Amino acid sequence: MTAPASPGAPPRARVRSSGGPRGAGIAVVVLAVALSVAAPQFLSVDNFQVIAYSVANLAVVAFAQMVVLAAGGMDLSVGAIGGLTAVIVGGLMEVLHVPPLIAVLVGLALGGVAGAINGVLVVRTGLSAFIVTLATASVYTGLNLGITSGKPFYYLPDSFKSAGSLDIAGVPVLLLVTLAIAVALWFLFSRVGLGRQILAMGANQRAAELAGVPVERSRIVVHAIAGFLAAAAGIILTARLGVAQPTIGTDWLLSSFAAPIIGGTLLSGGYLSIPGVVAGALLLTLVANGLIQLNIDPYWTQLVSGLMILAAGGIDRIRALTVQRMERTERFALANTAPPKDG
Amino acid sequence: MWHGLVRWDLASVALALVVICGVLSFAVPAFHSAYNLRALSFTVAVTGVVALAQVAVLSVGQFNLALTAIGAMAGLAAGWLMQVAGLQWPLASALAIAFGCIAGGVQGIVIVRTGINPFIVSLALAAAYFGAMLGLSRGTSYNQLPSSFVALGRATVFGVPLLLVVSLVVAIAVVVLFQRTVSGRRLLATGANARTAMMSGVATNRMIVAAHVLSGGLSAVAAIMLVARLGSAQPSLGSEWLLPSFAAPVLGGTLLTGGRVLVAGTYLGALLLAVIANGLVLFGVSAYWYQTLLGIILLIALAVERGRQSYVLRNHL
Repeated sequence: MTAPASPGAPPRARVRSSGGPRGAGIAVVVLAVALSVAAPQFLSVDNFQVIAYSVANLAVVAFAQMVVLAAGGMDLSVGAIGGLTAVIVGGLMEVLHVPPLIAVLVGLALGGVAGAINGVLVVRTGLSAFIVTLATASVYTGLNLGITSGKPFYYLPDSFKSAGSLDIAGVPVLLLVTLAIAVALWFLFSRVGLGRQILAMGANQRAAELAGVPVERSRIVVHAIAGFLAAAAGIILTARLGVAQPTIGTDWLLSSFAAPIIGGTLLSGGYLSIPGVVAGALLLTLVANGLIQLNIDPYWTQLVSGLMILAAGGIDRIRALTVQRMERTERFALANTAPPKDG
Repeated sequence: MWHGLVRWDLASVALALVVICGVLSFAVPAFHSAYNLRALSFTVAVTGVVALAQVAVLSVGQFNLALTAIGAMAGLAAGWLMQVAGLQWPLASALAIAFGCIAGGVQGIVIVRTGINPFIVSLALAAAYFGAMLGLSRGTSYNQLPSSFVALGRATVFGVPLLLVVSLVVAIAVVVLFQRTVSGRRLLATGANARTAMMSGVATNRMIVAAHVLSGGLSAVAAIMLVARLGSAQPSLGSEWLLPSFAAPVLGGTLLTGGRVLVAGTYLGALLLAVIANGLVLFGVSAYWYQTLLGIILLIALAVERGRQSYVLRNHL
C-alpha cells in the first residue's frame, strides 16, 4: 500500500512510506522474538491459534475504524454495531431457525444499514461524527440489550459453530476470512475510483468537492462500509465463541483506534495502510498475550494499551509535522526559482 | 412571544421537560411522591456535577473521555483512604479531589506539550487510568466506610438532600467562574477562537491545562458524592457517565465547539435525562431500553437545537 520512496515523489508520500506500517512491523518482530525467548509457551501451536483468532477479529474491527478515519471522520458506534449484529444473527439462528448463511448475510446487511444511518445523520444534520456516533452507539447498544435482556443466545447451529473452529492446514478459517476482507479493502482503495475519492475527501474535503467528488454520498458509503465491517467482526467473534453474547463489542473502542494509528493511518484523514492495520492489530494482540505468558496481572493490559496508543499518537504527530516542514521547504525552494508574481 | 421563545436558548429542553413531567404526573401518581422526588434529586445532583466536569473542558473546545476513569480512580482512592488508611472523610475527600485534579492536569499537559490529537490523548489516558486503577485495586471495592461519611449520602437540609445542595453550590461556583472572573472569560475566549485569544494575550495553553484540572477535580467530586450515596466505592463507579456527560450540556445549549457554557441549561439537561429514566421505571419499561431512548433523545435534541439556531439566523431575530 505504501507509495514508492523515490526522491522525485512528493514529500507526503516519502514521509508516509518511511512511517507507521514498517515501524509497526519491526515492533511486531522484535516483540515476537523477545516473547519466544522469555516465555517458552509462546511458540506452542495452541498459543498460535489463540493469537490467530484474536487478530482475525481485532483486524476487522480496526478496518472498520480505518475506513472512517481515512475519510477524515470517526465512528464510536463500531462496537455497538458489532454487538447488535452478533445478537441479531444469533437470534435469527436460535429462535427463528434461519439457516446460518442467510442469518450471516442479514446481519452483514443490517450492519451496513446501521452504518449508513450514521452517515446520513452526519451529512444531513452537519453535526460532528463524534457526537452523532456517540448517540447512535447508545441507540444500537440499547436495541441489543432490549432484544436480549442481556442474555446470550447459546444454542447456535453446529454448522455455524464448527465454522468458527475450522482450520485449513492449521490456519483458522476465520483468519482466512479476515485476509480476504483485507485484500478486498486493498483492492477498493488502490484500484477503484470510490476508494480514491474517499481518500481525497479525507485529505481535503473542500478540494475533493471542487474536484467533483460527491462528498455527501461518499461519506454515507464510508459509514456504511464501517458498519458492514463492524458487523463482520461481530459475526467472526460469535463464530469463534460459539455464543452470541450481548457484551460483544463493548471493549472494541480503544483498539479500533489504536491498531490503525499504530499502523500509520493518519488521524487527520487521507491516508491508510492495510498491512499497517494488520501489524497494529498483531502488536496489540502480542502485548496482551505476552502479559499473560509472563504471568503479569491482566488488569494491567488496559494501561499498556493506553500507553501504546499514546505513543502511536505521538508518532502520528511527528509524521504530520515532518510533512508540514517538507512542504514548507519545497514551497520555499519553488518560490526562489519561480519568477515573482505581481501584486 | 413566539420570537422570544425561539430566541431563548433553553427553549427546547424546557419545553421537553414540561411536557414529560406533565404527562408523568397525570399518568403515574407515584411520580410526585416525596420518595420519588428525592430519588430524582439524588440522580440530578450527581449527573449535574458529572456534566459540569465535561462542561469545564467543552468551554475550551475539548473533550474529556477520561472523566469516567478519573471518577473511578478518585472514588476508589477516597474509599481506600477512609477504610484502609483510616483518614477522616473531609481529608480523604480533599485528597481524592486533589488526585482528580492531578489526573486531569496530566491530561491537559500531555495535550498541550505534545500536540497529539486531544481526542486520542483522552482516549488513551482513559484506558491507562482505568488500567492503573484496576491494576492497583485488583477489582476490590471498599464497603466498610465510616458511618459519618455514609450518613452524608442520606442527610437532608430542610427536606432537600444534602448532595443536591452540594451539587448546586458547585454549580453556582462554576457560574461565578465563567460569568464573573477573568479566568473564566479567558477559558471561554480560548474555546471560541484559540488563535484570537492568543493574539489578545491569553495564555491559551495554560487555559487548556486549567480546564482539564477543573474537569478532573469535578469528576472526583461527582465520584465522592456517588460513593457517599451508594455507601461503597467500586471499580465500576462512573462507567455509565460518558454519554450523559455530553448529553446534559448539549441538551442545555452548551456548544461542543467551545466558547459557550450554560450551567443552568446543563442542570435542566441533567434533570431531563433523570426524568426520562425515572419515567421508564414508573411505566415498567425494561431498563434495557433506556440507552436506546437516551440516544434518540440526544439526536432529536441536537437536530431541534440546530434547526432553532438556523431559524434565528435566517430571520435575523
